Amino acid sequence: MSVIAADGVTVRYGKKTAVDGVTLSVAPGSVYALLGRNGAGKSSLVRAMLGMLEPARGRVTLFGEDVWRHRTRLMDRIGVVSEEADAPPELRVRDLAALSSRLYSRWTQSALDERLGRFGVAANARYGELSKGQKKQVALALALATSPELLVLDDPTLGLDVVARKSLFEEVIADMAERGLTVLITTHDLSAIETLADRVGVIKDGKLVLDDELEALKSRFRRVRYAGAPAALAMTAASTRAWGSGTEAIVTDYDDVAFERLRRDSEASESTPMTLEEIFISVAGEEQR
Amino acid sequence: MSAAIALFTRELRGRTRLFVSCAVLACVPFLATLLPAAQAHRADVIAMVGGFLAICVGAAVALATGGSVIVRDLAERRMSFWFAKPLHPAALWFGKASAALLTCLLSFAIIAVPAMLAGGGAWKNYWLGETSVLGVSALGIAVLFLVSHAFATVVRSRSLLLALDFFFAVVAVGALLLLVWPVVLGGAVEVTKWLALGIAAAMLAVLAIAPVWQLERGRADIRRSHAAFSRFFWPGIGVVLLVAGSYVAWLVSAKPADLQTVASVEQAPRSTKVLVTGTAAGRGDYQSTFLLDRTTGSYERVATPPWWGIESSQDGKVLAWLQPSGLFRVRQLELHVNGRATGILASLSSRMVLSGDGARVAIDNGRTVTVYDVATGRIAGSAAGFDSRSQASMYFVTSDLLRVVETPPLRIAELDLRTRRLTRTGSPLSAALRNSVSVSGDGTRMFVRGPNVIADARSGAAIATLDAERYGAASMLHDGSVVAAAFAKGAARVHLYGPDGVRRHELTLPGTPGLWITGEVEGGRVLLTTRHGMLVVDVNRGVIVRKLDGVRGPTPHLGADPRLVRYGASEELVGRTEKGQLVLWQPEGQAAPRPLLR
Repeated sequence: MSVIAADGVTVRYGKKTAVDGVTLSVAPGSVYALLGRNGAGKSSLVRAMLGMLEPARGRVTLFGEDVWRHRTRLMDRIGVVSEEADAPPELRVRDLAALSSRLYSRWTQSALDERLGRFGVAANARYGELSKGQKKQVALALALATSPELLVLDDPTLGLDVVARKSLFEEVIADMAERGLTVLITTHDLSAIETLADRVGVIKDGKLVLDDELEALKSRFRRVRYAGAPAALAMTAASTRAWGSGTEAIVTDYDDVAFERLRRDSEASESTPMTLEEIFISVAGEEQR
Repeated sequence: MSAAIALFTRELRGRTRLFVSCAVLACVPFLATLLPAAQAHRADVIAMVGGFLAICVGAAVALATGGSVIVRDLAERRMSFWFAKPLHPAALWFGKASAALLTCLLSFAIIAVPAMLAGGGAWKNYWLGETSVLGVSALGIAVLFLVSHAFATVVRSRSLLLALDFFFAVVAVGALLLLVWPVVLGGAVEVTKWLALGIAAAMLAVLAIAPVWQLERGRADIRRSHAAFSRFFWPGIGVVLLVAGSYVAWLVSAKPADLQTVASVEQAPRSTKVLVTGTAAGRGDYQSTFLLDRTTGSYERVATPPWWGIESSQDGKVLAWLQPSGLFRVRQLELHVNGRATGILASLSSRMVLSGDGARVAIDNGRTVTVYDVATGRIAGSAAGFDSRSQASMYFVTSDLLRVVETPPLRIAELDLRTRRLTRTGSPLSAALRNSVSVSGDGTRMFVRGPNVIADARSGAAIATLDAERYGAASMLHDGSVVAAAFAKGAARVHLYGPDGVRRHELTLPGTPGLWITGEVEGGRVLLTTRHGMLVVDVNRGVIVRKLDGVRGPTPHLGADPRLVRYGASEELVGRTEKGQLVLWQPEGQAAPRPLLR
């Protein structure tokens, strides 16, 4: 059974469609990276997945239960780090912890204290007075202290420096290794997620245009350079451009046999693997960084 | 529940600074007593300043917390924090709302209680007693809090739905007025009070529950939240109004046969119509008013309040009354003649009188008297400059001549409708009492109680002076003779004077501490209403010709016409028994009254 299953989810704001018929599933113990450019519909989809937004069509189940109907019960099993620092700014960190401890059935205070210590965040600091990175760290510490089965990270590294990003991901990785946590993450930090994600979904203009295992993606997406004309390529090209006197193509269904055939015709042919960032750019657009 | 409690305690703990500020403010009433002018009235100053400050602070906190307790998080996109937690919307709302409400009440109490204790009796004087002011303040604070939340939800979403909300608000207020107005017109003070309280309580319940729906369906998005709130709130208000409307429809649907008590019976002379007002079973103090045909028992419901009554022409063929002019113009009255709206408008305080032929009506609006043609609704004449502090009586001498008599002091004026001129015809007579004038049938003479004089009705010049008695009730009859009653030692002495002012007869009625002269019957009979029943007196012989115990009526209303109601010699009269039954009775003979409705 999938931890998250979205089935034809459509989210609308008035006449504007933010998410358009998205179907995806996240397996237990896996890390699903939901990628997309700003305004592509990631956050709307995540909000629908967390039962904060009712889909206009389709439905989302978490652990097999409809999240819109059973949100209260399901949230006891889910830790969330929101895109925006949404905790009440006037509360101190220890007050946030005290409040959360009364709401969650599997609260582990020691885990929280330990993490806050590692992050160097004082328990009596007001949430509103923390730096952006500290707020994210507190949010993550609070989310992991609930001993969640599913961790949802909505752009957790937005606005964080390299060190903060690293420490945040290290915490997630440690917890995953320890407890077999399932993670749904939306992020623009593609290099970091490349080492973490099992499966990647790319959302563009509200539609899920890519949804595959990361390793499968990497083997499917290749940069192929060859001496011939674009028509000589016997694989599907996401894009082609001139490369010297030959062609450079981004192929989406790389095939060793087809490449060997190409190489027989043109000795100068070469195929290079692509990073997740390169794959993302080829799918979602050039401007993305 | 535990989640709501967790939120409640968290929210309350976060308001410590506010409570400290209130404690500082609580010192202000005591500091105010240091002012030189306040030192002589220490308790008064503490009570007044403390109460005022407590109410202001309580209200301000209610408005501020109501407008921010949920809506601020929604507007600042921080509601996802709460919805990412295993927290039911009901727990979220009731946890936060109850903490906010307690905050408001504590803010009020921190300031009020020291002032109340120090103010003592002064507090009671200024703030209607401890229980009342605290109770009213608590209710007011809850109302302000909930209304503030609703208002903030609607306004801060910046959604076009706001226009729809405004539309529904207007419809709801209109419906509310429509609901309450018929009950007010029925003179139902208690029913109006309980109906208003019931509607208010139900609306408050809707206001208190709507945010749960708002959070359950709208969740973290402010516009969806607004839409969800409106989707619950307006149907909720609709249901409340529907239930209240059904109750009011049932309340006003009483039939004459349902009447358990009859408050008044007004009979139009020479007409078969009777205006009956009374209360029906289970309908509290709501008074239904019917225009009942005494010969057939058929009736129509009349929307005129019981205290206004009807006017009739001399032949009884034209019946006129005032009732609200339309669904939304409830404060304006319209003249209805024989059940037909005439378009002639009056105010709530207006009084009116019909001409003998029923063709014209004069309406007194305090300083102005206007005469209309009933058939066309056009103004036949108008005069201003009357003293609104005086009680004006008026009557048509002819269809073209309206005479206005003001008391006190007594002043007479005539409005000639042919020339449309007002002429002051009478000199002031300062000794006249309020409502003390009665006029003969032909309008040539009048009797003024107080100075007890028969005077020329046009000039006010005295023609004859009666006994120097202190009459409690007196009236000139159609032919110019006078009936006057004085009361002493639980008995009434009724004096019967001829048109020349000479006392002809005296009747002593033991066990009658008071009576009303309520009409006359052609052939020299006068109707007296006592607390026991009706007396019919032969004016010429000075004897009681009929004594009817346990029946009272007909009773004319206190209208503007100073002439005594005169029934036909053969007319059956309508009265009410002590048990509230309507009966028909004969002023002549000794036949037992018979029930009007079977």
